[in-house]
Amino acid sequence: MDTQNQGKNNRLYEVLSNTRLTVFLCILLAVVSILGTLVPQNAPPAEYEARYGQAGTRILGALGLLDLYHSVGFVFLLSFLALNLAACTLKRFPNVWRALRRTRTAATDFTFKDWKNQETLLLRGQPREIEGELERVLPKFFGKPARLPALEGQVGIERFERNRFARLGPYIAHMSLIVILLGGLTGALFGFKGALTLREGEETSVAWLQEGGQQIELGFRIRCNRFVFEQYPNGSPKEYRSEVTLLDETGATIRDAAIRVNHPLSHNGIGFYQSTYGSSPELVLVAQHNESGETIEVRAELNRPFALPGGQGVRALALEFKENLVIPAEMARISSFSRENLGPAVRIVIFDEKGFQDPFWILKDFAELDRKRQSPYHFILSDFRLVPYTGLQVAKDPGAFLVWIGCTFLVIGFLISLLMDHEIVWVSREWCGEKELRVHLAGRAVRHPMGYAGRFERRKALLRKRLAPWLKAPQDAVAKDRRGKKVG
Amino acid sequence: MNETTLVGICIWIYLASWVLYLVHSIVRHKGSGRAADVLALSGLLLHTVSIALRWVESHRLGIGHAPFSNLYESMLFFSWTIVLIYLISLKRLQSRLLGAVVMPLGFLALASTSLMDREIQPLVPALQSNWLTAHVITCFLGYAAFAVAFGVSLLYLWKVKELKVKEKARGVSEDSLFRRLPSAEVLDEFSYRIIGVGFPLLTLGIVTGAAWANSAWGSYWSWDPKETWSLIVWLIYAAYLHARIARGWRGRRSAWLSVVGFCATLFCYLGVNLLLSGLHSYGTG
Repeated sequence: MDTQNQGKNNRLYEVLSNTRLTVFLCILLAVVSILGTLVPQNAPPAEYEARYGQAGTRILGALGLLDLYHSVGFVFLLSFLALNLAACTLKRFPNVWRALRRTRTAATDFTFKDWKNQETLLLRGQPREIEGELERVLPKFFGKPARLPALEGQVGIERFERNRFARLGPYIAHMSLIVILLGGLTGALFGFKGALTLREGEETSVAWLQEGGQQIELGFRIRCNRFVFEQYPNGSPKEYRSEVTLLDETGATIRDAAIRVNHPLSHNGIGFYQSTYGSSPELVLVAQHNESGETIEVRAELNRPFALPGGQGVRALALEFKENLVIPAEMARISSFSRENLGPAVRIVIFDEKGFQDPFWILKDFAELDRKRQSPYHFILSDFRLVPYTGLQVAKDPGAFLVWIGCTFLVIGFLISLLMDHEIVWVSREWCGEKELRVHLAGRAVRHPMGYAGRFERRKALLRKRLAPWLKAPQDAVAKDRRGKKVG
Repeated sequence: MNETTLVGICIWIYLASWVLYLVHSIVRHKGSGRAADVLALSGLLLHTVSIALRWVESHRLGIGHAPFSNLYESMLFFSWTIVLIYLISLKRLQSRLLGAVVMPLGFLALASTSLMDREIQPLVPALQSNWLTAHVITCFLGYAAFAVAFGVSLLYLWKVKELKVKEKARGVSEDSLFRRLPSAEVLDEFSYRIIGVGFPLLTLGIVTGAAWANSAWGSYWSWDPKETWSLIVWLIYAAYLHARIARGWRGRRSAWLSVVGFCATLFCYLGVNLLLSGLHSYGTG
């Protein structure tokens, strides 16, 4: 690679691994995301046209605002942020890892000269007693010791540290974010979201996809045996529960289960979630072809066409059913009806290959009324039954476990970064003569130096208490400078 | 002594505490500062009791549930977390001037509950989940941390503005209020620490919310306005945390990010429920 290309690559790397880019991308993503909350996402076209008009809808569509979070631009921004994340980690992690694995550090005079937290203690007493106590007390307060070769003179220096691996915290958190994004991508590419409805006693092996409305084969059958709906005394829903059986292709039972809200059923990686419920009508209609006099009885469901008698190739279907059709009071007065509540009614439409005719209502309680309608066919609604159905969300997400692992480690990374801080304390011991030991401490914390000051003070006080039997009077210590050398 | 009465008393106590903090800030009267502390603490205790009473009452009515299920209960809890996090921050930061900017948030939050429907309603199936409790608690503790950071950032911005003014005037600062505020550096560090607490809490809140959505609707993330806005808040504070090591973003720009972040937090909590529609619209109940 020639130097010019290498220079360009280095510059690109520098830009990508810059924290300013992180700040910029986070803010940009936030602002762009706001737009998607102001415009309804993935709504039916009619709703958009009603809100923004045709021209407005076309503009919004061209900008990708109607399905913003799956648009190329948004995915690109997310990927860019992930790239920035990876580049920043790549740039900084090697140094941290090296620092973590370092077990020996040589101290110089200047290592901790400027550290803010320092303390000198003067101890007097039997060397063995003092050393023994120090060996017990120092690790307790300041962490793991790493003895180092002595510098010139008689000073023995020890480096105590605590929570060395706290420095991994941010890296764990950042890597987890990438894992989460990968999990989301996997789910988007290899999973699906759909729904199905089942009436009591009905079974199916397909679900309807949310996007595109196509069918998807589940690979097994699910049958709803019973749907239970409980209410609170005030009428709001208390529980809805679908008691189902899973069957394989031969019809043999795999297992029985109950699906409740927040208690989904999972099988072969496909999850069933209690989403909604309702009742669908099952109607008994009598249809008559006037010319031939032929009459048939039909068990009809909504939107399921049935053939009409008379052999003309004409069909009909029930569009709508109301347990009680209500008309306005004035209409009741001017018409032949004596009341506003007309009772059970079904709206029927007749159609053939030429197209659909105008739909009309049939009333159960006013059977003769249909005779007045000009048509070769007449209908009677003789009976109906409301069959409860359950609406289940069906979803498969092979990336979900990655997302949960990512979330767990994200939280762990945060906890490590927050609750732990890499603390380093240097302790030097110098024997002046036979019975006087000068101990000097210098400490700092890597991430939150200001917060550490308080902790250092507290530990200092505790240390003084523990070493009180050997501690020389404080006035003697004051007259010495930070490194314990006599001043003035 | 029932919940409504207790909450009513609390509102007045918080108001008094705020007024005393203001007096303490402006007039430098030490007694009013201490009295404000005492009022805030006792208000919080009463507040705790009122939440507990509501919980107990719901069980007595046979529809027992943790009090986190509608707008009233969430606001009752939010105001509680604000005062709690404020008192903890007061102990660490040691500046009662924080009370002058944060207590009003707690007071207003609690006062707003008097406009809401307080009836204890049974939980609809979607809300019958342990994830709900975890989600609400972590989210609101995070929001409260952001509220305190908002106050600290306002103090920082004021302090820095005054510093510039005094630099220009080159006079000796007679303003005792200015001098009594902690240094800009301390304020900046403190807002960083408190956002460093709030951000993981918000993250946990989003994660538990996703777990709940997954168990209820089969989808841990559906770009619902509420979910999206929580991500927007998350992104703003992520930007804030990284702004410290990004050249040119420390100091005033970060403080403004913190202020904007809290406004976004408020919109995420209230604006989405009240102005936009989606899966979270039950929250208006």
